[in-house]
Amino acid sequence: MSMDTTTFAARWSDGQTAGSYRALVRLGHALEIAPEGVTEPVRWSPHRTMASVPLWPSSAEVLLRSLDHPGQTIYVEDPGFAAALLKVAPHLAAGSKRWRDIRPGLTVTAAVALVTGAVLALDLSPAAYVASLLPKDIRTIAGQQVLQVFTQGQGYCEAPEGNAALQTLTQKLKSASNTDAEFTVAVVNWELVNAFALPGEQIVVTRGLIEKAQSGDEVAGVVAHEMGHGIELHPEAGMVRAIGIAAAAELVFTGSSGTVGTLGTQMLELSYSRSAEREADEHALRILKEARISPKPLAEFFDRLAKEFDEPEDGSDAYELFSTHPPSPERSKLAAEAATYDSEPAMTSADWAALKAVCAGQPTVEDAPPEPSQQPPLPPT
Amino acid sequence: MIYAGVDRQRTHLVRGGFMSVPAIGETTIAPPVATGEPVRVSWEGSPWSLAGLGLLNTVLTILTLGIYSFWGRTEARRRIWSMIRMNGEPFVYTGTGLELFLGYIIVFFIITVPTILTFSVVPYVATYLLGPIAGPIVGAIVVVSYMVFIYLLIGTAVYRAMRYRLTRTQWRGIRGAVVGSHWLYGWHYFWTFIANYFTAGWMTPWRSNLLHRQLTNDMRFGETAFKYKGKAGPLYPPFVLVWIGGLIAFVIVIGGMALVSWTRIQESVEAAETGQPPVPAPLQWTEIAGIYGVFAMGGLVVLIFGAHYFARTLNYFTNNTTFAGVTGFKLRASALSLLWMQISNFLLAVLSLGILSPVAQARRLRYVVERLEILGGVDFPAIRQSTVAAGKRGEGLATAFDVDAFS
Repeated sequence: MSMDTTTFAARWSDGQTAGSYRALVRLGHALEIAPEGVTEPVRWSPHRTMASVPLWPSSAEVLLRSLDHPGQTIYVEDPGFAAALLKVAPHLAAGSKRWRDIRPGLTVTAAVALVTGAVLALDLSPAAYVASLLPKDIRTIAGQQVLQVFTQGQGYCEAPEGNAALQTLTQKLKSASNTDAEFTVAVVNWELVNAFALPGEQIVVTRGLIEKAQSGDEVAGVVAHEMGHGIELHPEAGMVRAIGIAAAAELVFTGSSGTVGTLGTQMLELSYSRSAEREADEHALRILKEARISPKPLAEFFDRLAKEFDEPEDGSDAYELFSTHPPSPERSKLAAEAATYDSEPAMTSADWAALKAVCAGQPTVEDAPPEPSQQPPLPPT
Repeated sequence: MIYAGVDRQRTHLVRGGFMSVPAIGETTIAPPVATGEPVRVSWEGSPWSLAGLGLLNTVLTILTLGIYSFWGRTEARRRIWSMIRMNGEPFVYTGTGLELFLGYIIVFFIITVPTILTFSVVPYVATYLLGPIAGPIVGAIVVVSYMVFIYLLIGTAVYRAMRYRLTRTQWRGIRGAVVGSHWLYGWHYFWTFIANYFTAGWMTPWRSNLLHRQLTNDMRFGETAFKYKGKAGPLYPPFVLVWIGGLIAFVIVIGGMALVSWTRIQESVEAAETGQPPVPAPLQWTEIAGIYGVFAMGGLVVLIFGAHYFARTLNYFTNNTTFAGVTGFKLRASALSLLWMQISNFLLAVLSLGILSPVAQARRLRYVVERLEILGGVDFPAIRQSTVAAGKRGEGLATAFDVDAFS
């Protein structure tokens, strides 16, 4: 009950024990507290005072504590006190307190957004940097692991003549690449049309692609493109990025999303940025030129696939290549313009025929392999 | 009733496991004369008044990619704590969003990142260092040992979350504390978890009693200790009932299934007698509804017996917690009211996609506060402020493991 407009009946605790005193609180420049039986009044600075219970002008009760007097509390049950207090100390209002409280959170959010924005805007790739630090053996083992997941029960196409022809082509392109990279190329028995670069300079071409191609030059172009990805360590960067994204997701979703288990899946879904594709194309053109292979068939191959992509013969999703290697007019043009040097076929006709038949006799496998099983990152509770 | 010669304190402080339990404590120094003030806990306000806060928290959490959730949780606790009154004065939650956030960030770097690296990198590195045969074996051993270490941490996370919350809970400016070893608790939590698995769950009452005893005896309000004197034995009769309930549910499901598909069974018997291959008729909707109904009935039976055990445990834990040798208060949780509270809370949280979880949290606490009766009085001035250091970071480990000492 208020004595006058600035003095209110209250209960005060001294912060030493759980006892409490009847007291009078006077609102002025300071909160002046006069507890019954205590001779010296206690003064609280309004700016060092905190509301312990959310405070609105209409609050029927007010509970306060002071930063200068730890443990001390004032409890006032008077409908007029809240409004009178807020006039002296407006910063105690629930709204403004809340705003002050969340500012660090908003600052962190803004900082994260800024860093993410800068990385995207400046086209920085922290993942590529980390990838460049990985030793060759680690990259090879990582690639083998991915390949193992990739080929679960699917198998390679390993007709000896076809394989030998592929090795000859690989050697030719490898020496034309002018790098130390030790590329290995394998054909997997899937019907979809695609090719992948894996960590550790390992390249996988699908049966679907071999059968769709009309010449060894086309296959050579695709392999040279994947070698470009390998030289630039794009698969390794993708793997590092996947781990980084998993960690970030774990951070954001406070550990509830099982992201670690999806790592394997993410690695399979490596998709490169436009600039990465351009880099791989530049390498491909350089390698093809060095090997005196015409890039024209590659451009034609892409055009043909693009056309069939618009009107698929069997309505299937066999042209998967385009989800990761989107066809672009620039790309075809680039290939066409580069065809200004003398060239010879990438493979002998006998070799090409052998490669074409590398999967012959093996039953076709329609679908991609099953997703790797997921492991929980942390124990279930 | 006021007991002469003994002072008594009762406070509502949250504790571990599935829900909050009130407890009484014991003064370290018993004053010679009782000047007991009667104690009454009560609940002020409606849990539904937190619905708006729940919505705001969800929106801000999404907008800030999850970062706001720490501040949102803090605000919800501040509001919920203030709904609990002792002798009319509110409890106060003094934790901050920043503490929760920093606690989580630290745990992210010392636990979550090593976990991700252990799962994703160790197999490669082991193969790289030790070759293709020994490498995967050593890698698997490392990963499994790491998992054991992580499981060991779960109990410590529960304990530390409890400690964080008690040090951030105040009444009349006096804060709570938990003064024991979180490693000891983590170890008890871990080995009894494993042992319980090998005894087909029969250690459950013994285990909860052990863990509850350690946590309660480590709890303080100010400098005043709590004491738990319960034993596991009295928890076993209701626990045996849970198993009997399971048997009853099994009979209901098997019998019900036979009843629902009676004509089908008859047809196949006839078909077997006539030697013709049975022609299965398409499933009728009545049969589908019947099967669901049978499983729902079985599930309900298990839930009722489970809730009975749960309610008995809560009451027993509360009634056997002492303060200066006096048992002066009583919890009256009942199976049906508890079941209704848990089911309705579950539906609230799930159907609102988590938006109403502050409402559910408040209802859970209100359930206990409103069923608690306190007899006797407390010499409040004899309860001195805690001198235990409060610690600077919040429950990050519990957040990372998604275990909660509170709700």
